[in-house]
Amino acid sequence: MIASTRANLITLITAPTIWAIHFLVCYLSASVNCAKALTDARVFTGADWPDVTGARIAIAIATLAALAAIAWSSRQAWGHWADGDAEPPYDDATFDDRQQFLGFATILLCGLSFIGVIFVALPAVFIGDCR
Amino acid sequence: MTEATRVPSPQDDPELRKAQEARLEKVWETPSGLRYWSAVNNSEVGLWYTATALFFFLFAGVLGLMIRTQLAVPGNDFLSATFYNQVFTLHGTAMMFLFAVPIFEAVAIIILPEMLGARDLPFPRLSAFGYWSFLLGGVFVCGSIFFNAAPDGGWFMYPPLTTDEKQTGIGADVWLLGLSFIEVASIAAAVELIVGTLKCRPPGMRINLMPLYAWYVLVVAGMILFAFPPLIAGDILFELERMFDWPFFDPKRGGDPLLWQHLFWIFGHPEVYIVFLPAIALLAMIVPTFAQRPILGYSWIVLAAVGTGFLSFGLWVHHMFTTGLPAISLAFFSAASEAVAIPTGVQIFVFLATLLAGRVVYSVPMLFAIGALGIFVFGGLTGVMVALAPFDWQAHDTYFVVAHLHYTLVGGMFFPLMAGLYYFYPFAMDRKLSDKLGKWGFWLMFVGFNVTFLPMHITGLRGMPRRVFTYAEGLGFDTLNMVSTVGAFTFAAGVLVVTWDVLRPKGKEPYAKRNPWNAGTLEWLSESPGKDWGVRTVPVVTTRYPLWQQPNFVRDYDEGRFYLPDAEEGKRETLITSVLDARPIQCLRVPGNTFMTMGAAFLTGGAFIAATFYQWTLTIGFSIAALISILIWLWRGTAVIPEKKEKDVGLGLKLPLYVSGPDSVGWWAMFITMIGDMSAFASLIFGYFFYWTIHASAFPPAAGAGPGQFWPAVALVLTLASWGAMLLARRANAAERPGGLRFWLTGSAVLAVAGGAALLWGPHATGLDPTSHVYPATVWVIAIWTAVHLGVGVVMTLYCLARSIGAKLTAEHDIDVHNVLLYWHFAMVTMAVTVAVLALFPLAVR
Amino acid sequence: MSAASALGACSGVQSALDPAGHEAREVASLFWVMVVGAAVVWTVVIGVAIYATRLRPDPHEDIVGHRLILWGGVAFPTVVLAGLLVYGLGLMPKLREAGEGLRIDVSGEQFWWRVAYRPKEGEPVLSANEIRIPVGERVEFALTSPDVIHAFWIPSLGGKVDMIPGRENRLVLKAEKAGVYRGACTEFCGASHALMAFDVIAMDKPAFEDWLGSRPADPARAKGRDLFTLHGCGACHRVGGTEAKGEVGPELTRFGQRKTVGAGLLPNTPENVARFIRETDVLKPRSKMPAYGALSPDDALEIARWLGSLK
Repeated sequence: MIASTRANLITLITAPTIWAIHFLVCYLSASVNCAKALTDARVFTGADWPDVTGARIAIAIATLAALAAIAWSSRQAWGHWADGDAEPPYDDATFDDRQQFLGFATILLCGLSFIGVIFVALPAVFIGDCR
Repeated sequence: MTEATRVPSPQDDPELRKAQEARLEKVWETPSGLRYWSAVNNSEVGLWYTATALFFFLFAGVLGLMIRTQLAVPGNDFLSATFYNQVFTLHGTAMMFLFAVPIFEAVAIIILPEMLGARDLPFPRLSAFGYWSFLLGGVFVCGSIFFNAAPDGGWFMYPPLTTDEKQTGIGADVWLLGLSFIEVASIAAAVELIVGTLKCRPPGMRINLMPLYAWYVLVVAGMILFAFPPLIAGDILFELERMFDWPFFDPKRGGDPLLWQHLFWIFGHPEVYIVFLPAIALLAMIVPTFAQRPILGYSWIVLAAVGTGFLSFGLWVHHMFTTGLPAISLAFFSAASEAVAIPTGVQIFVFLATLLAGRVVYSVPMLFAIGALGIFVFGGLTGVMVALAPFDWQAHDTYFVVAHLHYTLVGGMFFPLMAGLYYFYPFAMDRKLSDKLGKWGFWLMFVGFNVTFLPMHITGLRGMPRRVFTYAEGLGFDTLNMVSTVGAFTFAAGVLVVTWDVLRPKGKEPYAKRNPWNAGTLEWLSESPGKDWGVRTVPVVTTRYPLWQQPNFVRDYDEGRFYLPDAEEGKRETLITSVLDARPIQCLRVPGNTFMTMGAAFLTGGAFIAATFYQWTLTIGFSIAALISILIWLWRGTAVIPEKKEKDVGLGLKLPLYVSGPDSVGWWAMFITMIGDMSAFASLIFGYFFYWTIHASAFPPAAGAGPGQFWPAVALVLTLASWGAMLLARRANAAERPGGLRFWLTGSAVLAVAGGAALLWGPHATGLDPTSHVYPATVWVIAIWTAVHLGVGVVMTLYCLARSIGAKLTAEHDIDVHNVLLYWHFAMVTMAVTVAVLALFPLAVR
Repeated sequence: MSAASALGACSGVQSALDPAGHEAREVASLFWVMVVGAAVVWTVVIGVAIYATRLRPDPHEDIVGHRLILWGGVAFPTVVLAGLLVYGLGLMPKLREAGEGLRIDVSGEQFWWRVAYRPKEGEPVLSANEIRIPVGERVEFALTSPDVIHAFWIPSLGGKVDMIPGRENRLVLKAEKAGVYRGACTEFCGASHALMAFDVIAMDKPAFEDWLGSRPADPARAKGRDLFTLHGCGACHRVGGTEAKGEVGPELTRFGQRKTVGAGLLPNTPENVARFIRETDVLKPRSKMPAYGALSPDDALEIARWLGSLK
């Protein structure tokens, strides 16, 4: 999360942490939305399920924010990774190789987290109510 | 250090080297006779740990065979229904809690230090404490079945079946308390391993050179910190309901059985990966060795390990797909469950790529590794299937899932472990296992496993539910079950062959040659036969595979040409280095052998066991005795003031012997422990808000029914003051004012006691009865949690006071006050959150 | 041909792979698609492993390995998993459509099923351990439990849903073929969890309407009926048209129509019913019904015969 000219273990886990926060926002907003709608008017209301529009908006905003934050983290890691110039395997006992290794691993984690955020946002596209 | 550049060194003198070796051997000598059991060194404790975990595996395996015997034919009466339920519950419980997780800690304790060129982990006595706790807890839980008193509610222990004392007797208490005790030991091991990985690496081993195994250990230990505490929180709620009728899971009084399922699976799903990743970590060491080249895609493995670690926390509800939650809630977990397959797949492809680009040497470990791949990939693919909620609605709680989970765990954990057993056996035991028996064992297990579990996919989809003690004839289950049973006994025969290979006397066989597989990582520096000192000298590492890539490395090592080649003062020592770059920062004296850890573990265990039988006097007695024994242990064995400030560690480097604050390992241990503590607290808070979501208006109830605002506010103010006093105490100590230190410590303790009392007074004054409804019960449990934390803080503060009076805590030697202050930061946060939730939230939603 | 035999191997009254309902059919199709995909993936991965360890003469260049990781380990799985996820997510709302009028309340109890039909119009009809539904209509099940968690599963018709104390879950199923299917409890619920099944009879709609609307025949006067009363069976069981009004145990009105006794335990013959009355604790461990072992076999058989006559 923290901006740093030096790659470290915190910059490494920034992107997956963002994924985790995004995941919680999605899950909690949808489930609180439905739980609160359903505790009052319980199940058998025929086809009239409470909808999750509020949660969908929250998820859309959270998704855009998360993707932007991950992009920012990967931009920073790109710098640590010598702007993409460094070839693997980064196995010298030097500051540069350490920096490039962490930069590259961070970029990979950003990629995974990016995919993860999109996957987790997909339910809100396909499911619009609390059925 | 090539021949040409070598500078003259004292190590050139063979006589000196011999004397050094003699001193090192003496310092690190394993005691003999009865005193052997006082050992705390990682090689002994790790070995006991491994042997015990494997014993529990065999025990749970026999239970598995009993299950298969019972199910061989329809309507069988080999086991009664009630005994069968104990058997399957204990099979799952023992396999997960007494084998799969502890074996990770066990193997890590054996190999991690030497893989990092360290003589031991930073807290050897903590490892020993963990081991004795594990042994006692495990024997207690498993032994219950011989008294027909084993837990019988399934390893997942769903209430209300298990909260009903008429249906599940003492077995449920055995499960809850026996395992809570082991979980605490697991968290202790996790703290130890994190600090070990981050701070005990050899000089030069920057984070990009760390062995992949260490990366996995770091990730897995981190996961334990976030996964186990929710279960402990759940256990607390559970026992409060069983013992004192606090209705957390009783819907008649506002509770909800689903909260347990959430807490259990927030633990339970990451746990699957906590089991899986360390085994894959073994493959990450084995594959490069037998491909005879460095791993191809080091960074990708790091991505996969870290990525899996995170994603695995977003999967838990896929165990609850059929609980009737809204589809959209389930769908997030479907999505994350699919996403986690990506990093898992990456690991497999890294291994394939490494093999493809290497020159593969075939061997028994490789055989198990390839077998593991075949089984695990299959289990992964069925995992992708059940991750889709619609398919899971059919497959859930059927034999399809039984098949799936055994494919993932046997392929992803057991076979890699067997590969690791054959691979590391010479390292730990000085002799090689038999190739011939290994191959027999492999094929029996591989064939037996598939014959057992492959048919179960069909059995399940044909409609056979899990956890059934029998089934009706003619539903299409009969033949399939018989085949599974035959397979299970074949599998068992393979296990027997390997067990024999491990246990058969090998005294007459020659020692394995040193580094028998021609591996490249530090643990293979180990001499054959092994020496008690762990490492001859702490090496300087500049590559990922020093034995392959650093010239003359082994000779320099043997001649003690690196750090700490000697034990002049007769103390056990290892190096502490910085986190990212492994710059040496301290020479750490680690404590030696003692029976105190065993005593402390048995006393702690005694408290848990007495509570199982509702023997409250005994419980309190044991708790006090355990507390005293731990305080004695800390007093004598931690923050010991060295006889001199600095020490020459070799290669012209002088390092301090005593460091405090963030440089010290103790501070890190406290920090990491408190992260785990906070995740348990967060789980209780989650429980509070969970109840809020399911209740329309009863949680929190209408005005006036809560703990009020006044007393919580008083508690907060007093705790703030106590925390401030702690800050002043540390400042006074730094300014060499022992009088000030003692004054502020005393003040802090008094204020904390008052704060805790005020917090508890709130719900008492407003007459909240915890057995009446889940709301008062939840308020009470959070308040008590926080008050207990203040109580523990008071004990620590008084401990500092005593250390100050005993001249063990001074301005220069201030480890204790730093660590206790760190604790108080967390206690302060706990109190602030508690007051915000209990006192302010009801105002906000009114 | 192999596909046909594979399908043959999947048949059965309790098989998810022999679908007779809309929901089960959708899921079975999804399953077969995934099986084919999984088989291909497994073969390729293991093929590469065997090639790399056993067949190949010389090491490949590193770049080959890097490409393998990137394409095989990342790109391919991401695309395939995304496709599968979209398929699965699209399916979820479709499998939870609303019902079309008939609602059946089912309560899982240790270790049997309490059933109440609630048609749109008319009085509720009580029953136990057997469920009849019309073919071609989405029927809504309201599921709960008074004691511990159970789960309601009719594999031939669709997925399962848990029955959780304090919660009411719902499940909508549409049978597409008339026939007799078998359901089972799939959440571990105690000693006799294995012995908690039920029959499902999917009937053509008119036949179903007739059955549901018709009044049960008046219970016959018989020795069995007197014994039933004498031994207090009516304290727990209800038999419509008699003084037996108990609500603790399974409803026995129209018991004679049921296919099994003891929640799917034994075929409903007088001998089996008599045995169940006398040996409940053996046949169904920890069942709440006490075993009437003191009852003579003849008397038990009389009761069983009378119960069998209730249609």
